[in-house]
Amino acid sequence: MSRIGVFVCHCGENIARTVDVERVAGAAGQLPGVAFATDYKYMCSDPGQGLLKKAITEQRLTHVVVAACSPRMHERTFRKAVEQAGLNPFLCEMANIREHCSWVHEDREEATAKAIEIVGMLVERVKRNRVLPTITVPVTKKALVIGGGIAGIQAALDIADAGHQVVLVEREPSIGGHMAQLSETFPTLDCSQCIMTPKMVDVANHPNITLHTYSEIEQVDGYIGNFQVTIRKKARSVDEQICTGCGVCLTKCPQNKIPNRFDRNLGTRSAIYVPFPQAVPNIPVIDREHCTKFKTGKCGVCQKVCGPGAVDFEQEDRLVVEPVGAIVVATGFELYSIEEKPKGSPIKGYGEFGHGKIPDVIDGLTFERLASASGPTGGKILRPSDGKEPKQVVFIQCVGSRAREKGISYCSKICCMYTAKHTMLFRHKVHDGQAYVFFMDARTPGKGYDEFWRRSIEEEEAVYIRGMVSRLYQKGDKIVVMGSDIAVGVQVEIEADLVVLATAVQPRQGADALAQKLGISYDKYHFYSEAHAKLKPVECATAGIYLAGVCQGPKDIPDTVSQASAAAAKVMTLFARDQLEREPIVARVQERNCVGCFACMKVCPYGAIEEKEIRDRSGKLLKTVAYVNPGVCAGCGTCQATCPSKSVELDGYTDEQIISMIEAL
Amino acid sequence: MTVHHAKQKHDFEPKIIAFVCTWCTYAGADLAGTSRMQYPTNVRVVKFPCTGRIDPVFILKAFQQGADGVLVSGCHPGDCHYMAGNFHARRRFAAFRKLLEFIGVDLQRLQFSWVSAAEGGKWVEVVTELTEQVRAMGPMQEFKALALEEQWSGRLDTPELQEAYQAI
Amino acid sequence: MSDLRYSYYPGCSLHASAGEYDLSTRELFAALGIGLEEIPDWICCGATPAHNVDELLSLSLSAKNLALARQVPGDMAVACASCFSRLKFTQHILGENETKRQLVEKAIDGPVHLEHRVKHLLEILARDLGLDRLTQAVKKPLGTLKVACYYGCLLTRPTDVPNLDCTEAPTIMEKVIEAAGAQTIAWSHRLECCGANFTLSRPGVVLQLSHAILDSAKAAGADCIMVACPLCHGNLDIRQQEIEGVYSARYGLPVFYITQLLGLALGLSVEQLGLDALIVNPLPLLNERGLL
Ligand SMILES: Cc1cc2nc3c(=O)[nH]c(=O)nc-3n(C[C@H](O)[C@H](O)[C@H](O)COP(=O)(O)OP(=O)(O)OC[C@H]3O[C@@H](n4cnc5c(N)ncnc54)[C@H](O)[C@@H]3O)c2cc1C
Ligand code: SF4
Ligand code: SF4
Repeated sequence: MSRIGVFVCHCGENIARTVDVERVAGAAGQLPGVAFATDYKYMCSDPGQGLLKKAITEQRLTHVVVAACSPRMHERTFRKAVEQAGLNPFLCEMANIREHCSWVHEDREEATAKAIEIVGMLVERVKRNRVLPTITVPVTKKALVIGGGIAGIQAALDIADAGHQVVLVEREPSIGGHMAQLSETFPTLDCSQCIMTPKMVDVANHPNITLHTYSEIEQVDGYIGNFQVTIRKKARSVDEQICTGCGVCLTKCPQNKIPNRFDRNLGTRSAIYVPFPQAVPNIPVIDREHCTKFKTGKCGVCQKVCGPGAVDFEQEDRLVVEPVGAIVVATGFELYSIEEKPKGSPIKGYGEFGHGKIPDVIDGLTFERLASASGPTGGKILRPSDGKEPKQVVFIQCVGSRAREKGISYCSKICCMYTAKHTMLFRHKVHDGQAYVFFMDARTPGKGYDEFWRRSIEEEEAVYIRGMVSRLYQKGDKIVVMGSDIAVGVQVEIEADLVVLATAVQPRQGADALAQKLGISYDKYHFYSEAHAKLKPVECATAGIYLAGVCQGPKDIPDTVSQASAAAAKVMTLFARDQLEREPIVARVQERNCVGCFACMKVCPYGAIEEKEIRDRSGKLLKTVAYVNPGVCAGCGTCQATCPSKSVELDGYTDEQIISMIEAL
Repeated sequence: MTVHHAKQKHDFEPKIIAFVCTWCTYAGADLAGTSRMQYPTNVRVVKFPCTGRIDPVFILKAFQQGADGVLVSGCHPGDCHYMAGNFHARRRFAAFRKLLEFIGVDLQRLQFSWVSAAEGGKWVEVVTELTEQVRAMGPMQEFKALALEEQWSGRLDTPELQEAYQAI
Repeated sequence: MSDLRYSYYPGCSLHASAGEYDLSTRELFAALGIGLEEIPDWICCGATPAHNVDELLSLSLSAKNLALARQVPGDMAVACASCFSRLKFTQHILGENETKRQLVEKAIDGPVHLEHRVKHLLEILARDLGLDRLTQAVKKPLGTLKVACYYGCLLTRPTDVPNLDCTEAPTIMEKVIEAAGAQTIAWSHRLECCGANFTLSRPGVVLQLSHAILDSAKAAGADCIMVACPLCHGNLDIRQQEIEGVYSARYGLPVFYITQLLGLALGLSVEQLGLDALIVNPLPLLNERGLL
């Protein structure tokens, strides 16, 4: 037999003005199972809570209903008070007679009647509340970082410096990401390589970081604190333990005319290659598609010249399983290409800019490689078609960005700034050159950013034309750029030697597939979604997974690094504890009734439901039933409403509890 | 949004029961409160973590127990706190409506809507509209008659059940 | 014989300055066995001026034509790029704006037919009939002719309205005429504006714009230009001599309607196609290439 205590709050005048609280307490006292009912001016105040605790002990209460404000406001307060008085916190419920009653009604009579009914419903419910133990899960203090661009590098270093183990997985043969490709960086024009390379080396040398390059995520199981990650280490054909990075093989490989992707195909590389001289790790990879040995079975020069004998044509992909407690996703971005897109792609490409077929129409990243001292031209600005120095260069902003009709409506955020940077780099290298920029708006918020942009106009004499380009075409060795200057209201035509497109920043191809492996959500462009746009900007809705860098949305290096450090801080907060506590509102399977149809498994948005085998003592399989992993279950209850045999129940929201409320009507 | 109007007395005050999710609609109803909007007193709210938890049986149960109208409301599609619960709910209820229609419940008595945590005004509108609509339809007789007749309404008021229940 | 049939909306130009477009369209469709029946009592669509002056008028004119078209079975076949654009625009605007739709329904005293399919001749040839069947019907392939296909601005723009082909890089004209064996050239001004009806009010603008088009077609090595719009045709053909005078250039580029060139490939005669009505005389070129 339960002994329920009902406490009706006046909330000063807030409730008492429209609801006759004394009458509510009186009526509650008459309800079956209620042993004690009273009202008080401010239940949430210290004396109010004291009253509650005292009543629990003195009246030997078994359950508590506080009729006051919304549970969203004070449920925690009262549950804590109840716990301090020695009762399980989940034996306390709140009846919302303020937001849902006194504040929205004026008629005292009606409001009081409604309040009495609300209390009645909660009394019936609380009777059926069960003692719920807090759930704890252990935490594996090792983090996985996916993607080795500046975001992943920063996050990995921060976590490792805090003394935790980090596994860094990078798809390419080297870490570095886009930042390794940049020449100089806004807003200070310091050389990207110079600030990036030391960090890359730190990663390689850090005792707490395990680096897997040329590797991808194969599978992710588990939940916060307890993930199991399977990593595919693609066959490098070079033994990482033996190779000394001498690079002799690179110079001897006869297949040495392969376009180098790192240099945006401006330079060439051999079939056995490191993507760029400062690569970390400095260990070559054989590109099996172009290697003569793999194509015809002959050659093998690299193996012969390799002193330590590191080249291994037989090497195969290897799977490594790592247990980790937290995951940072930092997979970055790729650039929109103006080429004709396959049918059905929401993105359209730019026929009016020649669909990428005019050689001297390049994108910003290619320009970075041209301007880079370690790039294919040694830092000279030379056009791809004939190697001549361009004198008139037209830069076009917002190519693909803010262009709904091309499939993307967002602003890529970085291009205004890097275009300003490009005009400067161009002027520094070609003194008699002239830069023109077609732009919609100049978006330069950021410390020192607007000053930087102004410098490109005032000191480097870039001509900014507000308007869009309608078409460009090759005419002899010039490219005719036709556009409008909307400030003056005229059509402009410029004969350019080189055209640089600030193409939109997009998530990586395959970002959605990775998200599905991780169980995180993404927006319609496949940028990963943070849990809250303002208050949880680095957390995913899936617990234990954090975001850093451009994979979450366009941003520049300073923002990327800040977000990466924030993600690292979140991981460290998680790792500060040995065990995780969580609300015990989770689903549980009645194994006796479960028929193993697994309808629940299909609807669970979190993949919390697993198969469990039930065997008798001799080990004979009796049946396979569903099992809810309490560490993963988020408590939405969709499984319960779906189960045809009613074998799964959500603690705190059982059928019995709900039906009792309906019946109290 | 309803304006303050002179309270008029009606012959029939319908019982409306609302099944809502805690993240969006419950919070939206709270917002209506903090904004001191006014609406009829007829609605009783039952809170769920997510509309995905709402078993159609509850709706039947509500009608059996004498509700004249039922409202089911959760997060807008795509905004579900649990990612996809409201989609499952939507699919489930689409099928369930057909069943209700088949057994002769006027679908006007059952309303589904999306009310977000920011839509206090919409909550007021939805509740007021449903109350007025159901008031115009009059009391829901069909199920009540059955419940009385057949005693299968599951009300826990037989002496045996009462005894067992007291022992909880 | 094909089973295709259409309600034909020629538009005013085809009954006046572009009589040869009308003539060649009818002859070509007859030769291909496609049914074409002129809509009784069709009215002017208002072309490019009307919607600049009175939107309601312009929408109502097209809406009326849509209603009239229903007297004749089949989708609506339109030859003129401007009429095509107005009809498509009307359907687009009235589909999105309920208020305007009601106004128009009052004005034309009847319902607006948004669902009625409006097709440009190019669509009918390329998609309904199909390129394969077109090729099969060819008797005299145009293999020796280098054609510059000129779209102008209205056929594909704006995105989402005509939905004829890709807005900025269409290929439908090239595909159709290549199906008749011709060679097409890649050139820069396929989609630039020719000046359209500024030809009456500000001819200077037209001379300048059309000059750029002729210039780039010539530079790209074209033998002739092919169009699908009477207004473009007027500017490039009728004004060509004048442009040559003003800009001291020499083009001599015959400007054909798509139906004329296709008709030629099907073996129709100079008279059937109205080739003698063109201002820049195409006969020497056609003779030289053995296409007559
Ligand atoms: C032309 C241009 C110029 C720029 N100039 C500047 C500048 O001057 N100043 C400035 O502040 N910013 C500049 N930026 C922006 C800057 O490049 C980005 O802010 C920064 O590189 C973002 O870093 P990231 O780590 O998020 O992404 P990325 O650099 O893209 O790194 C992501 C990494 O993840 C790896 N990866 C991807 N998918 C997977 C996977 N599934 N598994 C494993 N690994 C994966 C990739 O290989 C890559 O190494 C410029 C950008 C461009 C395009
Ligand atoms: S075996 Fe392949 S990688 Fe090695 S040298 Fe020959 S072609 Fe180059
Ligand atoms: S950053 Fe500038 S150029 Fe880039 S999309 Fe935004 S507005 Fe356009």
